[in-house]
Amino acid sequence: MITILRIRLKLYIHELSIFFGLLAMSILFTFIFGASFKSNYKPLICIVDQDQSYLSQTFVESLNYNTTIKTLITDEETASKHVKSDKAIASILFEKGFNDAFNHNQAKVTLVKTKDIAEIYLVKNIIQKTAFTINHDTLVYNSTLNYLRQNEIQINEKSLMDSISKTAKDSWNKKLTYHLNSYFHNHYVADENATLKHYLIGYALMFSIFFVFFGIGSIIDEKRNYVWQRQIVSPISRLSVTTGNMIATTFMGFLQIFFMVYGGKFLFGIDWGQHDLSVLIVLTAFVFSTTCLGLLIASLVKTQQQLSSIVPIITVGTSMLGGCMWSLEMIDSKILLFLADLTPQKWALQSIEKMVIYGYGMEIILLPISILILMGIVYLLLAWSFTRKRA
Amino acid sequence: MSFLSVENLSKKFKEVTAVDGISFSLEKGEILGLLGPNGAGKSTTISMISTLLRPDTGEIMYENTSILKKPKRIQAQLGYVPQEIALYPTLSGRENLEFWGRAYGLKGSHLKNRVNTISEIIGIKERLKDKVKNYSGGMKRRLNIGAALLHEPELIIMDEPTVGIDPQSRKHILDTVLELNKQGMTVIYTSHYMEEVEYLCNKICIMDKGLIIANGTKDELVQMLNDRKKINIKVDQVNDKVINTIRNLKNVDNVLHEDTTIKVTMKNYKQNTFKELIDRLSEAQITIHSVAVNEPNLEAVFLHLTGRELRD
Repeated sequence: MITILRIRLKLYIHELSIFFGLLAMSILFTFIFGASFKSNYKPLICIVDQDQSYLSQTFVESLNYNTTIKTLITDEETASKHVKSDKAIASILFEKGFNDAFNHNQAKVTLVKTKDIAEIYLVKNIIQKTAFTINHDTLVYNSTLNYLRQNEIQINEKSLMDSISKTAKDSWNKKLTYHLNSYFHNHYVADENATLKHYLIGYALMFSIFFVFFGIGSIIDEKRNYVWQRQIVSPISRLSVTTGNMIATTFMGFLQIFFMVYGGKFLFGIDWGQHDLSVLIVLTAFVFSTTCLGLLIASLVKTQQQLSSIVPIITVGTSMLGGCMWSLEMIDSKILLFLADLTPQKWALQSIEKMVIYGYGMEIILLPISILILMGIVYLLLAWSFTRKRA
Repeated sequence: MSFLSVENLSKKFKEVTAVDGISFSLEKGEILGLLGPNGAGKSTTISMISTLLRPDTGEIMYENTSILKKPKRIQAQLGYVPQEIALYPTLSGRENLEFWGRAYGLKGSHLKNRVNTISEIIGIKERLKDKVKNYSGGMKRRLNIGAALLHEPELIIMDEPTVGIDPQSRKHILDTVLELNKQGMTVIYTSHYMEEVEYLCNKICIMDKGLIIANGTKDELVQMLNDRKKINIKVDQVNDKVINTIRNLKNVDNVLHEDTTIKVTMKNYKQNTFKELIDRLSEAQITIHSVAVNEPNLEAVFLHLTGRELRD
């Protein structure tokens, strides 16, 4: 087995440039994908206010106030250009006479769009909400004014309307209707960048599988050029060949993930939480199980072409199932959740997430690493068994 | 008891019978040649002897021990040279030899000495530091053989070791095999090159379609042809009528033609038969450019036994 380990490491040394290339790409893509979920995307809405009335400005103010969209107050021509060139998702036109029409329940707001996307519905909601608020304020104003007139109380009608609008707006903004208190189980508080970290961990795990399978590729090469067969007829036992390959590939996979964790931490400031050591232990168990899965695949396929076609399917498929690309909390299907339990990614991701995002301690890793190691052993035994049968 | 004996060995791959109940034996110090066309079952046979494949039926005994029950018994004493270049192309010649030496338990100064000795035998000592991927085809083949010699095996199995190399490297490999045999090594050598087997082997098994169709020494095999002679006649033209005329001649066993060469195998060869053959060609107004009467060889034996040429 030492002989196999030695030659594997020697082969890796001869391929250091590939190792570091893959590593750099893994760190970079993890960072890029992670960062993309952090971005503050706000769609642009162009507003054309031809009426310039109190009411139209109230609508514009409401739209400006919303933090999920960006607004640009402009003329009709510029708005049209922006929408046509996809710089803006829509333009809203308040035509001249909007104020009067509104008072006669005949107001028209024109929405110009090129496609139906979620943010359009948001804009429609804002307009409807604003119309509702203005209607409400107008109703309160009319009722108050009637009451004051009936009691012959003199009042500045303009300042009454301003006062009603301000009071109503303050009341809506204070949202004093009820308080919602939410707690995390065990009183742990989620990190504010939880989503970003989930994807960082998920992508780190996915890229580490690619690296492990790269190591498995050289075993397929050995089979193709008969080196593996020659090893099998030598006094080195088949178990030693399989185990030696497993240890060497796991070690290199561990090195890669080690550099990913600390490279990401120091180069891009990726925060892996306070439990670096525990994270590394889980990742090592994860690399072990995926290496054994790789060896199982290596025992079943014969050519690089077969491996090349199967690796992306397995890597991306199990990563999707295991929750690397989205949170498993949003999955309802019991079948999918059961399949997720069969993927190494799910166990590694869940435990690292608990430590990095929710601040759990080291005790949380015991079950996942036991499952990961067990998975690895099952894969390894299957690989060894297929190696014996196929040789 | 033989050094190595194979009894009733069979191997099927799905519906294809690669080896069909073959038996042969080998004494220490012999060179056994497995001769046959591609797909004859030679590689499958040696894969079973070298413990790479498990036979479906049969027994392989190595020095009175069943290697099916105790594969380790032969593995340590076996030098296996696969048909493929089973080396690490990105490593140097020395690194490759050291790896295979270690695989057979060599280490330290003994390993170093063996690497030097073997690299001298196979003629690559000057290039040991170079990466294998930069070697010529012949050098790779020689290194492929060298990797099987480091542990001084008692038995060496070579599966078509000269495929695709230049005549000079081929000669070097054949002479190396003879030299190793002189030093006491027993050799099983597979090839579809009749000349190689004739040159090297003192015992030959001719295989076809998974069966051993003949075995013995070269002389014993050639003797099977009795008074058969192979006559190659180069003519200006060949047509079916002439071929049929020759085929109907008394004592003509087989007629083949390649372009404008007619290959006639004759039994009970006598001078007047030859004269009759020439007369028929003259009557058909065919111009004869040359005539060669060949002594029977393994090619002729294969042709006689199968009706096909060895390289068909």
